[in-house]
Amino acid sequence: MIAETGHFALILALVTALAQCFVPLYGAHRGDRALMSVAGPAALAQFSLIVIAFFSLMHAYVTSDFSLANVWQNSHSAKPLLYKISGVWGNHEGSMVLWVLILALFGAGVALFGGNLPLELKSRVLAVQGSIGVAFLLFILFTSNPFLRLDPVPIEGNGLNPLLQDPALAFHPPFLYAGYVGLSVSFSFAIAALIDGKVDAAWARWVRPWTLAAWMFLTIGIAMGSWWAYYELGWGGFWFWDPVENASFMPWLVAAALLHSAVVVEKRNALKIWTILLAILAFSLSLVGAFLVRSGVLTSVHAFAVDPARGVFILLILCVFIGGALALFAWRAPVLKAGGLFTPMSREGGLVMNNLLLCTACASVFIGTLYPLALETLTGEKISVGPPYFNLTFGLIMLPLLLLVPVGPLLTWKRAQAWPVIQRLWAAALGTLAVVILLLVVLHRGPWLTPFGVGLGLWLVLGALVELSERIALFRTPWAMSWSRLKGLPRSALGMTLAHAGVGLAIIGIFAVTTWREEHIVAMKPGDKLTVGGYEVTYIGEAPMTGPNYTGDAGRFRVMSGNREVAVLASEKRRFRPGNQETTEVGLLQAWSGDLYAVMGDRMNDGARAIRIYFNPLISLIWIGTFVMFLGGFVSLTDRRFRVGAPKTARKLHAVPAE
Amino acid sequence: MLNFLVFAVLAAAVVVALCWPVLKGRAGGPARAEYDEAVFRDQLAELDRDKARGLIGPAEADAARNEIARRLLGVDRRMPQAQAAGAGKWPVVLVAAVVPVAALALYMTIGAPGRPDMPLKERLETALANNDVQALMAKAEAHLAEKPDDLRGWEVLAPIYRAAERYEDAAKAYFNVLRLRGPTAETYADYGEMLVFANAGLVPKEAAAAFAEALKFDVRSPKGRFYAGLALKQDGKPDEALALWRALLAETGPEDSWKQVLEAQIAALAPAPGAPQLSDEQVAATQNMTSQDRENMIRGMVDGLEERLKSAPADLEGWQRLIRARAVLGEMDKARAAYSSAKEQFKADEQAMAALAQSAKQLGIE
Repeated sequence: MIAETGHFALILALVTALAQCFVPLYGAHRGDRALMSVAGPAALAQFSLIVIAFFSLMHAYVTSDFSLANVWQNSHSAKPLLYKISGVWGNHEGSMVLWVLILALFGAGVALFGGNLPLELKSRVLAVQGSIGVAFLLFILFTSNPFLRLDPVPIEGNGLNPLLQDPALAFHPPFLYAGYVGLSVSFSFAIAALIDGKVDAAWARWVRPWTLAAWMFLTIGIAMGSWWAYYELGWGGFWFWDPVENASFMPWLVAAALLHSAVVVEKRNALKIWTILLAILAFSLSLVGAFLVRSGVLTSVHAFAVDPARGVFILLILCVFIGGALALFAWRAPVLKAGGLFTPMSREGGLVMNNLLLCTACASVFIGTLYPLALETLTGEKISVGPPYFNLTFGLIMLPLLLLVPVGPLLTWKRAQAWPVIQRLWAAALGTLAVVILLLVVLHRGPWLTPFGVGLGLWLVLGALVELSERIALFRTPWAMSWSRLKGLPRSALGMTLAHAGVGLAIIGIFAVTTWREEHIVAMKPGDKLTVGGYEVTYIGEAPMTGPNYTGDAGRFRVMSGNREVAVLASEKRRFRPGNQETTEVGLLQAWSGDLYAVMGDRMNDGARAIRIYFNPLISLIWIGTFVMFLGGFVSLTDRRFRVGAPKTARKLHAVPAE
Repeated sequence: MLNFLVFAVLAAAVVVALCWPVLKGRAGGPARAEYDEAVFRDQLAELDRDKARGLIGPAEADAARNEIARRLLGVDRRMPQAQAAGAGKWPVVLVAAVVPVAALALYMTIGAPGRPDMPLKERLETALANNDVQALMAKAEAHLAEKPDDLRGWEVLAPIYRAAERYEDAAKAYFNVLRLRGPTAETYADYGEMLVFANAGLVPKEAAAAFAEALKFDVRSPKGRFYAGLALKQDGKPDEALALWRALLAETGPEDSWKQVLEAQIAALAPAPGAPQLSDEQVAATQNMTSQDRENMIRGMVDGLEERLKSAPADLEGWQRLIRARAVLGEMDKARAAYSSAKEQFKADEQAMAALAQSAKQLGIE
């Protein structure tokens, strides 16, 4: 009964989404306010219905209702509750329901918090949002329906991929989807503006919080995914330029560009057409990502099961939305009035530079991801594009961008002079240089890249701090004055400082780990010792162990620093019962200076174990940095500008504020 | 019924939500220009605040103010087109009416109306009342996982496993019965038989040992003797097997369930073409036939078997019987054809492939 209610709710959501798409669009076309205002309630109704469907499915998972084919394929009654719940989105069908749930959530968000949007714009945005909902609900109901029933009903399920039975991964997809799908709102705003023929400062201000929210979720989603890969896959790395990782990274880069170009539209009424294009591209890349992961084009840790019918359907969605949006863009973009002028050396110029470099970097990732696929399809030749390619292309393109990050915020609008900027940045430059020289002296035997990489990150952090202290006139006015200026600073400015500093912290971590890590792959017998990263690691031995749905061997390592025991690490090799799949659990000792990372390998013939031990210096800075970026986005989102309310219209007696 | 009541409530809620703006008559509202103005006035206010706090220099502030003011003046103040007041209602009401109908129509095509939920816990609790064999099995398994020494549980479970064709589990269950009740000829024979079934008809070493034990406890055990014969045959001692089986057949009454199988086996081993599978009446009938008629009848039965396997090909034993019968009838080409069809059918099943290859080798068609 609950399962069938969920199925009906999902179907009703599809029909409601159709109404949400066509009625307001027709209303906006005719200038009929009554028809336009259907959009809001329709979006809320669609969201509520998908909530019902989603929780019905979750109920089936939690109660192990194997009469649903989807539950039978992906769940098991012996699984811990958390993974029964996360199992809902640990598979293709369920994750699509989560996808439309978040899509509808953003639609409902626009309906609820869009009180400051003009009705025409709001109804068109919600109509476009509704059309995306229609496409994906059709996809779910006709190619990937999780509510299909089985008869006879099996008594036990097939279980969830053990690799996915992990707390970080339980929450990684919801955040990532919130990012992917959040970009649909920017897309809807862009399409609505194209239909409307009007892009101005107000539009930029309205679209910005949604882009910001999507970018924040994408940031945290990617960071969680990378963290999961780091400690669950047991390869010691945090980023593999895996096509599926790239699929999430490309929209992130374009969303970052969009955030910056929207500032120019708001402040200077320039870059309007470009900004619209970026908004379309950002969501298009999200769709491309969805296609790559779900069509079976890729086989990867993350990719869901292969089904050509689904691939074709997603390709169709891709063509309709990307093709349609770009066609509309080509047709309507010339209608948009060009905005203010500026010289290349100006804040606008800096932001254009930022956009060009971010988009080029994204293009290099795009080529590296899709070229091997295209080549294999056309010629059957298999090539592997790995880190060397990305380091050389993506890395080299990002280098000037990162060097320029501290400069940008110090430039003035319209026309800027170089000298005042240099004057303000000398402290940061000197600090960076000092650290680089110090590191060169300490690491005079190499690696040579470490000091420069760490210096680059430090330059960003110090640059952000210098910019902040400039704004609050630190050291030039009394402390109290600076403090009150800091409190009065627009939240968006504070957010920018945090985000730029966060990038710097992450850069420090990335360079330290990739150029300076210590790696040992050894055969150890109980009692064997190894010195890694200043620790003395002793392999104590291993013991068999049993978990709720797996058995395995747990190896233990004593970690000594000097004569003090710091920790006893446990690394496990687990065999999960349905399917006998093996996973590793990493023994991890985290410290500010870096992580000690121990993984159990296979048993050797002579009773020894193959053991991999890494020391990853400063790696926690990568995740701290991404969290600081996320925090920056959040602080920026609380800026009061985004809460400018709907106009009060006392003049018109019949008028009441829109919802 | 309750389900459709819930659907009706959902659909009604959606209809009300869609009609809400029209019913409330909230057609008015500020124009686009006023929203734009609100934003630009806020920008001006923000500029003043920044200037007061010294975040922006006076000259830059003036320039920015001019720019914002220009935008403010440029706001498009044309009022929106006249409201199409009455025309707005009917499309909404129409759409609102279509929504539930369309949803219900789609649901009736792809949904499973009236299917109840089947949460595992509830299913296990009501298993006995619903005669739900799978659930009963799961319950018994859970019980025996906790109390592995419950003889009664294993005794009940073993034949259920057998009926569900879970032969390995059945063998384990019989092994536990042996362990708990002590050895008997019957249990040993059942245990061995399940091992044979789990091996797709081949007698593994443990099974042969089990049959030997069974015969130690009861030298006349029919099952023990039958499978001991099978083991001999598969060991390449057909004469000994035939002797054992013929002795067993002599003691077998017409009502014994294994009679047919036994006769078929003997027929397969007997030097002359024999009847693979004949009832007593048929056997009686064949005695009055000419040898030509007899052979025709047998061929007819074998052809019937082949026809049946064409429509229901997932029957390993059937295929093995067909291959054997063709070989015994001397139709080696047809035997090879049946063998390759069977290989095609079971190519994903390693055990079945092994069993097929084994019989093909014995019959000399490979």
